[in-house]
Amino acid sequence: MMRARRLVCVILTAIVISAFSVPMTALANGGTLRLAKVPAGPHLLSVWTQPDPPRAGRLDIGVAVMRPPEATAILDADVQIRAERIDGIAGAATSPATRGAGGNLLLYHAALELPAAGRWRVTVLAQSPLGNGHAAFDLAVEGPSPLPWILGVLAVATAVGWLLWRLKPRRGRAVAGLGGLVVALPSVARGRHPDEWQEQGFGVLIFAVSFIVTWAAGALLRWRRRRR
Amino acid sequence: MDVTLTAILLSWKWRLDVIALIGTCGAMYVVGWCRLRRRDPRGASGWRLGLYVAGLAALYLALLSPIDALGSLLFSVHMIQHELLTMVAPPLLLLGNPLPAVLWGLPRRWRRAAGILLLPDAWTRWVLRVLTLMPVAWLLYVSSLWLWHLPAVYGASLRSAVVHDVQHVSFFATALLFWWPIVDPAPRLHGHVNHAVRVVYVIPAAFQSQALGLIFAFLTGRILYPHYETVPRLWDFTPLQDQSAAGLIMMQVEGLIYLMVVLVLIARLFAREERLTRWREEHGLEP
Repeated sequence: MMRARRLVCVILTAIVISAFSVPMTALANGGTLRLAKVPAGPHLLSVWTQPDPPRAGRLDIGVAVMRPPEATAILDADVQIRAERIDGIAGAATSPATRGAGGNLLLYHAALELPAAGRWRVTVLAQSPLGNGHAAFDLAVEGPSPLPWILGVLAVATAVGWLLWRLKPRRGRAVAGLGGLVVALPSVARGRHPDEWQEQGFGVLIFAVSFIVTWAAGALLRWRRRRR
Repeated sequence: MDVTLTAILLSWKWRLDVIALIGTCGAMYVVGWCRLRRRDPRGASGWRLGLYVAGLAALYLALLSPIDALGSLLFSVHMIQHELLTMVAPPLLLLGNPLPAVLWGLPRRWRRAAGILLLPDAWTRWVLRVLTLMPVAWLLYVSSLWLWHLPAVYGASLRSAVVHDVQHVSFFATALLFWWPIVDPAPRLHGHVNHAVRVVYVIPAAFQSQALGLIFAFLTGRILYPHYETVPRLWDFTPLQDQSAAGLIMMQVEGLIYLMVVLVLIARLFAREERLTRWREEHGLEP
């Protein structure tokens, strides 16, 4: 039964790791609609953003550039995204939007780094053989979400707990737990922009490293004990 | 080739979590299948391997191919994705009889641990037995299908990638439960269930899917999911035509699959009756 419990523990750890590897740039699935087929010069623009609500840090933007009136996709446009604060505090971010960055080659995608919470105006500029045009919308950007932190702490606790349980010798437990914390905590601290946590592979990397270090420490201890 | 079509065909996704999951399931099955085959070739047939791989391929197509990207632009393509997740991948995977092969694909220590979870008195087996009871599995599957197609809930899945993933997981998981009593893979949780009972289980499911498809295809007359009005139009498809096409796809694909399943179940029912009659005759018993 012990092994069965260990297996359940491993599966839970795998689920936590998978949750961290869910990609943020999933704008192929839409996002929150900000502009719906609004005229922008000779084009029509639809714009989506993620996450919802928008938070300081990474903001993913998906843009559909369309030819009026039938609204067919324009695929050879040059699209730029500009974000400026409109609440009296200086702050700006710019990024080109490229096709396919979100896995959908019919839409343009960009990732903006918004440094702080506040009111922002996002302007989408589109240039195509039809001409130039732009459209804008306002965003109320909130502070960073605590959820990734909670998830991070939970995941670290799961990893450390599993290792504590896995390694029977007391010293092994101490070293393994400490090793896991030493490796994983700076990574948690690095997540000042919470959306980083959701980037592909970031969570996997953290836990792979912490597992390797803690396991190696435990294995070393057991090997030394056996030699004695 | 048309620029739009090229863009669509190249819209493949790279999701490490999905690739790792499909790859791990495939690798464990193949390793286990080879081990079983070495022990007893009758226990691991080639057609089961083929069906399991086809099931994984259906999952890969649904989640990572241009079908996923196009699903945000066309409801009809989104419907194809959901058909792959509910009507194609789950029965194929279950026909591959996955649990014995996957168990044998695990390292020995893990295999024992996982085997314990499937012992007759294990709580995990009890949970699986309850979830695969015909009324429970049917209700879970049908409620998930109807719930996710409510405009507000479906809209949320188009706005958020996480909700969209939850939608796909719930479609796939409830479909696995739904198909379990029909395919009846190992471990046999409910003893032998008469094929006639399985036919009775399938027919109402076919009716409800036809009803849902009919709503999309003909009954509403208005766009249920406004998201599709905001995206670029492809091949001069209006959102309403796209919605009707989605309904027709649901009715046709599911109708065809359910019909095939019913025919196979009836054929198996007759074959079983024939075997029983022959056995009785051979043993001098009255039919």
